[in-house]
Amino acid sequence: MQVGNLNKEVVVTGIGVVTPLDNGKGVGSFWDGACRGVNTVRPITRFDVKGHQCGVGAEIEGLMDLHDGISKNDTDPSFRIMSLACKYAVDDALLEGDSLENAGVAVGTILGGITSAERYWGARFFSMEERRDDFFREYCLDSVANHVVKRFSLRGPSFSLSTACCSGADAIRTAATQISNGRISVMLAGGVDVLSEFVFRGFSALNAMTTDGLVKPFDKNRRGLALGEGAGVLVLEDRFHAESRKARIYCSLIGAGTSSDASHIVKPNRDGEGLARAISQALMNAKVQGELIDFVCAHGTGTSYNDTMETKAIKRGLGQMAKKIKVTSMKSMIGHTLGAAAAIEAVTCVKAMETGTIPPTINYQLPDQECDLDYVVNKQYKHSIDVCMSLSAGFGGQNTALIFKRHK
Amino acid sequence: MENEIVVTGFSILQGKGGVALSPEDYEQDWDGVDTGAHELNRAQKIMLAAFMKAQRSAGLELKTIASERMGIFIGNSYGVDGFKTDFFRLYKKSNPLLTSPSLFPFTTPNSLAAWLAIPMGVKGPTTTFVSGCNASSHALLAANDAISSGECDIAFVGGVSILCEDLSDEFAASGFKREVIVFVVLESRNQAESSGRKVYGRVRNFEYERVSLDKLSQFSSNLGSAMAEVSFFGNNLGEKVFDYSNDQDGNVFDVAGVLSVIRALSLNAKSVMSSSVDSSGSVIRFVLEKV
Repeated sequence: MQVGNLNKEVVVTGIGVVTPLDNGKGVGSFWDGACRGVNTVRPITRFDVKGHQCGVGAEIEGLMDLHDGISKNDTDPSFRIMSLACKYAVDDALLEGDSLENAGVAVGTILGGITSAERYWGARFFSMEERRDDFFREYCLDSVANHVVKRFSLRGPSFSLSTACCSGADAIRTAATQISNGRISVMLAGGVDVLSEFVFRGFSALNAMTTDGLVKPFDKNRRGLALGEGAGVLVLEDRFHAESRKARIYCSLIGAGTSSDASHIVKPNRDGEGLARAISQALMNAKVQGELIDFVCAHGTGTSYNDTMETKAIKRGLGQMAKKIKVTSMKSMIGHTLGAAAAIEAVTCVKAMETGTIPPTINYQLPDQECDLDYVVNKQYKHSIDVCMSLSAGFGGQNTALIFKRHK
Repeated sequence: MENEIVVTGFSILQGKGGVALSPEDYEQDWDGVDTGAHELNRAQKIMLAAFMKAQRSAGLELKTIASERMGIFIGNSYGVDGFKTDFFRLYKKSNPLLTSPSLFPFTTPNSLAAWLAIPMGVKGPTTTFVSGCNASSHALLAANDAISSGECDIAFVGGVSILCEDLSDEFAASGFKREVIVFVVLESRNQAESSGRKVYGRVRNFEYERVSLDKLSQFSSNLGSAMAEVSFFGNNLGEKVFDYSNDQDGNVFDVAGVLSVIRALSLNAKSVMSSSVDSSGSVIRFVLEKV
């Protein structure tokens, strides 16, 4: 990524995820499920959904038992899955010794330790259990990153940011900027959020969730999103540093763009102008033309509003060739994982380039005139990918685009 | 030659005679923005006032600047917790269908920055850092990088330390004494000078360090504060001239980095180093040099 004065090239040397597709088993399991088009959206079991119009979501099976090798069993699950995703990424990058100890971490999250928050407030207002100091500590939004620092004994910088559903992408973008500017050589960067009654009620009140139990991005009969949970992490590294330790390089992060709609707290600009600006900025940053993009991993929530807007934004941002570019939405399979979504989609981009496979947008049945791009529907698609783009858009009018280029 | 990033405006709002800021004290600062139409809450109204004070301090006419060339960078961790507590007070008792549609958008941490971007028409990068006591230092760094790389020309960088009444015990235990909202306006020196805006100082030399948790707890016990340390140093970097954590504002949480810039402008020192540390021991420091 070419920003700042030093313009160091930022490469991806490791990836890690924890999602409902793999249930904590790692990237191999995630990718296998994604390419087979496995639907993980099911009736919610973790809390009572009685009274809501929607009763489904994508839960990680055994979430409360997942362990990262260090945390106490009752540590907030957000900490444990982020830490586990980091472990997978670190192992994948063969990061050890000084390279690991000197690394930093950037975490994007909307809810942080929301499970601890629910326990904290439950204890405080309803005496549901004994109030404990660690509920409040784990409730703080920066505590996930702090946990990763402790878990891996990192000596590099750590920071947390929150840009709604762009959080994971912006953590990656901001971490890459630190590498590009020569302040640090290695960063673990990504996002995390877990499904909670708190956020479920919030989205239910917005009538944003699917009413027919399926997430159908870009389909004419799409009925809304389903909430999911997970974590996604990239090991970002200065190319020179990666080469000097003979690391396997997946790809380079060659561009990033971000923008604000400045129009509405919940609804994106209908014409996609804000997201299109993020796309244009990312292309300019990457010094590539729109026609060089082989694949777009879309935000694709399955809401009427987003998918129409995003289709317009892709056409606006990528120009005349937009209709020839393959587009897919991971949210059809794993729901909307909020702060983790863009990071999981970044991992999807990396795997798509590595394997030459694009996972499908499942549940697609009926084309929508307003969503007229070349979506990969219902079956995986084999396609050589040199350059791909991940898009995200969030509440508050946030938009972020990332561009990756395969390493040859 | 490196394009310098300079401070051309600033604002600081602090609670008077108590911990809380009152939006009614700042109505004149909204400058025609219809806060009712935008359904702004207390925190958002106060932030809007601080933003507009900084804008006026810089002599900026937003209408004359391309909206996509302006960005907002906020350091804040607890600004939305009032909403969360309101919700949690009720949610075990109430019918789920009675949950307010405002719940989720209002409790996403970026909502404070977004609610500024919407009425102000700011369409460039908008990022909220939630890194505890060095959140606004990270916001400053991100703004510095965004201007350096050409992502935006003008950056409004805020630190927001808002009290949540239901967390007052926890806040007090951490050294919180009063609400503080601060903003600085950053831009390139070339642009500021060509536009005739006064340049107060330049920010430079951002760097990271990590201190051990042992050292951090030593800091904390020395300062009588649980987490944050913000220290200012004059030209002679060995001489500590100001230690903000022991100042009247106590532990300034998310505000530390931006507040240090504003305080440094009033110090009798040519260059000042600001250093803030979060509860994990992650330090971010930079130099403010008066111009």
